[in-house]
Amino acid sequence: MTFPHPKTPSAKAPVVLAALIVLGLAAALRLVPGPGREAAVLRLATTTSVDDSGLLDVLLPPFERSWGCRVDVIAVGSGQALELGRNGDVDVLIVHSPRAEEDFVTAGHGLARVTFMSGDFVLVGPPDDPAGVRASPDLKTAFRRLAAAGARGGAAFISRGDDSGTHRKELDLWRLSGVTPQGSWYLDAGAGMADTLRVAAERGAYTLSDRATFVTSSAPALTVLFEGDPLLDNPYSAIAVSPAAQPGVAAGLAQELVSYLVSPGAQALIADFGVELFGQPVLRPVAEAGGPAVPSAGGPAAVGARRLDWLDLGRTVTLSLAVSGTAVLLAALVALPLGAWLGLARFPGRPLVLRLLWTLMGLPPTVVGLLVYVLLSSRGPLGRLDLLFTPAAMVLAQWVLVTPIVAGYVAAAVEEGDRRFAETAAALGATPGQARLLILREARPAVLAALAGGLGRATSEVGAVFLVGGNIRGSTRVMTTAILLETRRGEFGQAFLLGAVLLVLGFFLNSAIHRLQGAGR
Amino acid sequence: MKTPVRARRRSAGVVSSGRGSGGVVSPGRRSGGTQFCGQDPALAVSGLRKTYGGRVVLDIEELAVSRGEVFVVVGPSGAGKTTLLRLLAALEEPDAGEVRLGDLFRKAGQAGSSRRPGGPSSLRSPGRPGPDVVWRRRLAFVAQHPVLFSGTVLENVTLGLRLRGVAPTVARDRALAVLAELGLGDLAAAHVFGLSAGEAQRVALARALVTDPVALLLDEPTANLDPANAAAVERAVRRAVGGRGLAALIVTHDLFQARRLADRAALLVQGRIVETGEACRLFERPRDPRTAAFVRGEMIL
Repeated sequence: MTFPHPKTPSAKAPVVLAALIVLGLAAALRLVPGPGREAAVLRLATTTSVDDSGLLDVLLPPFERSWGCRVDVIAVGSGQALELGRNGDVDVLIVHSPRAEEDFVTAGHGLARVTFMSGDFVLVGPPDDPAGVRASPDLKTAFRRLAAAGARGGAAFISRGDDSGTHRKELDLWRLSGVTPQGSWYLDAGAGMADTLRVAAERGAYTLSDRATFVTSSAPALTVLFEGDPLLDNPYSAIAVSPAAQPGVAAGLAQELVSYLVSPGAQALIADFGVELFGQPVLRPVAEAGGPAVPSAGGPAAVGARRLDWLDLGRTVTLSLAVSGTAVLLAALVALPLGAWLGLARFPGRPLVLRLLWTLMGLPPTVVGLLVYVLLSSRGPLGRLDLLFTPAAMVLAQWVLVTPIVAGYVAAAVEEGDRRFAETAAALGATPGQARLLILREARPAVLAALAGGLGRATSEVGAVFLVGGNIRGSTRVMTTAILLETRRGEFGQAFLLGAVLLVLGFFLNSAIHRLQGAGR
Repeated sequence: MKTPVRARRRSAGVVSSGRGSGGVVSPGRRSGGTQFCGQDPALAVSGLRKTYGGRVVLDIEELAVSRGEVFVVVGPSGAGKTTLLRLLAALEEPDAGEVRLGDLFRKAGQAGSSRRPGGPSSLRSPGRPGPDVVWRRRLAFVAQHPVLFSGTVLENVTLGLRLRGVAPTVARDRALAVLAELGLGDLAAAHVFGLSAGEAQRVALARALVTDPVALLLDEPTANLDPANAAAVERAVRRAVGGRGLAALIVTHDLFQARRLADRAALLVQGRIVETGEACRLFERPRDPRTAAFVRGEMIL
């Protein structure tokens, strides 16, 4: 390190390098338009039960091939799916909450409600059936017996509690049975269907599930105790979001998807779905009128494609690294100068600023996700950028998450360096400017550690990327959201594999940082 | 990397005998004030006072160190020894009094009251060293626990020169010469984290000496060292002072070290100098009963 006189040196090379890396990553994420940009993307919001069942993996590829487009699937509860449609954040919905769907279309948010398949709900529970549901003459009696057994302490019921179609159905059934479900036996999972089934299985409790998810999820501790009542019908509808209400939506393509779903080809796929995997149809095609046929390339052979997909895994890992890496590099651009300044400067409000920074360091990812979501939603202040459910949104969320962390660590390290080295530097004849340079130079290992910490935080968080990315396969699915999904689907092996990849990457990252720190000494 | 300047310096604390800058007074032309005795000392203190929260921690009427002289201030812990060095090194501001370093003067009240030496407060332009920096560049201060910067021994020893704008090759040659002088030639390329305490202390000494200071200020230079290393450091100090003709002011609580090193010595108790004199006289025939007690190894306050 030299100390040119009379000017202090400005280190430009690292900044240029960082800018190049950011541009490279941005190109990899398609944040900037490149030659290979996708032609069309259709955003589909659907319920977790549909996504968890694996049906869309069978149903969508033929459509994507024949229309040369990509369908981004965002799996949420029916309530949130409808909300996404109302905001124009998606183009088309597949939901199963008939009354809410009617309201949605009546209010002008959707073009039409097209029922294209039907599943059914089943009341599942422990095989020994302590509440005696199995022997009930009708569904209402079954629910009343459940409540009675619950009140006695002999049974428990797990409710989805997430305002989903299934949850609303369950509440309807309690009401029809004349029972108000409350008490310690009635538990609110606040989770998707597969998670709720798992909770019920672990606790030996009852729950209401759609048949598709129950059959596809591995919950051997539960069995179907009541089925077949007309009240348990579970019709699924597709609704294209109205371009009149939300001019930004891809209405044409959305309507094509709705037409495709009622086409003979798609209806055949629906009928066959599950037979090969589970030996029973789990969904019934119920399209009233046949739509235009779509060339059925592939067909039911695609069923069973839920094996380990290395390409998918590679894409997920790459995206994780690209999103988190970009977020950390962009965070560094702000956090390093901010941290250095806060570490060295002394001004009246500094303690307050530092306390604020430390508070922000603990920001829960879900809060960051919510914030960015509101910001980027079509109705939000940055809605025009059309960034929600893109990698850019994930980068933004992680940037918000990581910047205070890096800045906080750097500020602490620089302040410590100030305490340690300022006087020695001064005694050696350093001008204040030179002393600051020396102090910052001593903070380099700590800066690397701060960046590594930020990257670790970014790659391991799930709340923010899930909310603003939507866990879209091949587009915004990163390792943590993939783990969440695979766990929900009961694919523990795949989830563990992803977790292992995450750990291995973390190990190599930390080893690299360690080497760099060693080189800096 | 730029940090905003917190506050403007109020006034320059250093006056030099050169012409030009305001407040410049050469020793001969100074109006009134204290007269320094002796034959033109390199380092001289007059009426120096420092209080912390109303408590007087240092109050020295007079103290002077000549070129080529090792002056040792002994005293019990808490006597104000380190405070004295910090005031001399312009790391703290005195409440009263003045210090002379060669042809530079530093006066209480005139100096910028920067509480954080090297902090943003005294930065006006990074290229023009302020008066505190000019002062510090004329002396060398080695703290009791010297702090080395990460890097090699050579990088540490050249640091002071590089900070002064000396060309890298020149700095390198001078540093290697000093390292060789202190018996550290083999360690030039070594990383500081691998050094023993004794080596680190000597590296810090080399780092201080390489800038050819007018005065050398050492705070408990061997307090943390075993006898062999302490002897090496003492030899290095003696040789450096003798060869360069610089004024060395060493503070220590170690009476034996004081006897080995000092030309002249003083006993500092509760911030005040009890007795000053030739080292052999002071330690053999102390006049003040407190000095006698200290020399006998008794507890004094």
